[in-house]
Amino acid sequence: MNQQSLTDEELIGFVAQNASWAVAELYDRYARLVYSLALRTLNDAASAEEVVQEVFAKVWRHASSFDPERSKFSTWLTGIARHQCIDELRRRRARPVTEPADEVAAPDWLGGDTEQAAAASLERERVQKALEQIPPEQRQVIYAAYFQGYSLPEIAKRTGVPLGTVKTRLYLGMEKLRGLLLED
Amino acid sequence: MLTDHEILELIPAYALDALDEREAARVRAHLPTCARCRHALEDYRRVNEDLAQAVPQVPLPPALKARTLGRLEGRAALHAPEPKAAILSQRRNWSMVAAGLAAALALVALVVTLLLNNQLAREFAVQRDLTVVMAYADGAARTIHGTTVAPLAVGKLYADADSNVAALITVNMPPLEANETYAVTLVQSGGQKTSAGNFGIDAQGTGWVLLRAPRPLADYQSVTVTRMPGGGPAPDGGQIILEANLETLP
Repeated sequence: MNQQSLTDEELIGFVAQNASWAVAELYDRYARLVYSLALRTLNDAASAEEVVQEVFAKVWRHASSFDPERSKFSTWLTGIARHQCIDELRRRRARPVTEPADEVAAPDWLGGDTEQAAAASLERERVQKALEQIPPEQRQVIYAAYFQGYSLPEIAKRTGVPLGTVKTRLYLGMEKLRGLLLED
Repeated sequence: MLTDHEILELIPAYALDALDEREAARVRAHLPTCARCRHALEDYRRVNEDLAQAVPQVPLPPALKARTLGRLEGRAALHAPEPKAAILSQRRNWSMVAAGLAAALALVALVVTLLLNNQLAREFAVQRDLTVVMAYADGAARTIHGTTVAPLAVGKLYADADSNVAALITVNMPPLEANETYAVTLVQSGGQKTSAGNFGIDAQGTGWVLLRAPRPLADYQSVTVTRMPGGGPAPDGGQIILEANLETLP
């Protein structure tokens, strides 16, 4: 058996049977994605490394709860990684120290930088293109929720946009992404 | 009371964990009753995954893998009552491995007695020698750690430095292809390599082998365990899984 030829779902099955080599293989496949997401979200290398460690610890602990009938492993893993990042962001905000207010603004990799997009992977380019087709005000709300961990009421408060409008923008933007990304 | 359509419009925010707790609770309560919303939730989670893919990939810190996987070992030890951790912990429990060997020895002895099978008799002899070597080493073992290829792999070398026979027990070894084996190589300070034995592993990556070297173990500088194709004892080539400097091993 060559572990590199196994699918993610087969590997997580081995993890559920206590095979630590399978976690190592999943690390090789996904750690970079998790680290990149964490670094982009938290803007801090030490915290991003902590997220990677915690995410794979959760993969190890909860492997038996993964249900391949419900989702792909990569979707499950990305969900864990994102929640880990958001938890850290919210912990930071809860600390009683004065920190610079986060700007609710589009990230530098969204739109505009076509050269960078062309050099990136096909997958990244595909997502970039989808994002560019969304109206900026919808993209901004998605970004604030996804990468900055703001709740809808927080976004409404920070931007001065009515909560109902924020909800609608998020729904319309995500629905459009759903159509663009999943119905190819 | 929210309508089904109003709930559906909250699903993307729910998938992003962006609802306040009151609305999130409403969505949670609704989901078991609505296949359409469950399907939508799974779709939005896939969109979330795609958004992660859009982030520019940056190189990983080189030491992060060892730290991450090493932490799993630590957590496993801390969570001994959990089934997974308990099993891993058992793998680390060398006295239990020795007890398992002894049990296997007794079982094999019984079978040998009953069947007088030559092959089993040879196996019995190996198991007996392993047990003798481990007993002679008084249970004291030197730990051989996995290389970056398999950081969770561990070997325990039971031997007396003046002896040319040693017992090696390994855990968490990466799985082998059907035609592969693990080859143990001893290296002298001058670089001369000696094949000391081959072994396979079980489904959990556990294996053991009785090593025989032409010289006392003290004459060797290092030991490697290499993944080799076809069972060949070739000391060169192959992927090194375990490696240790025998002169510096505690």
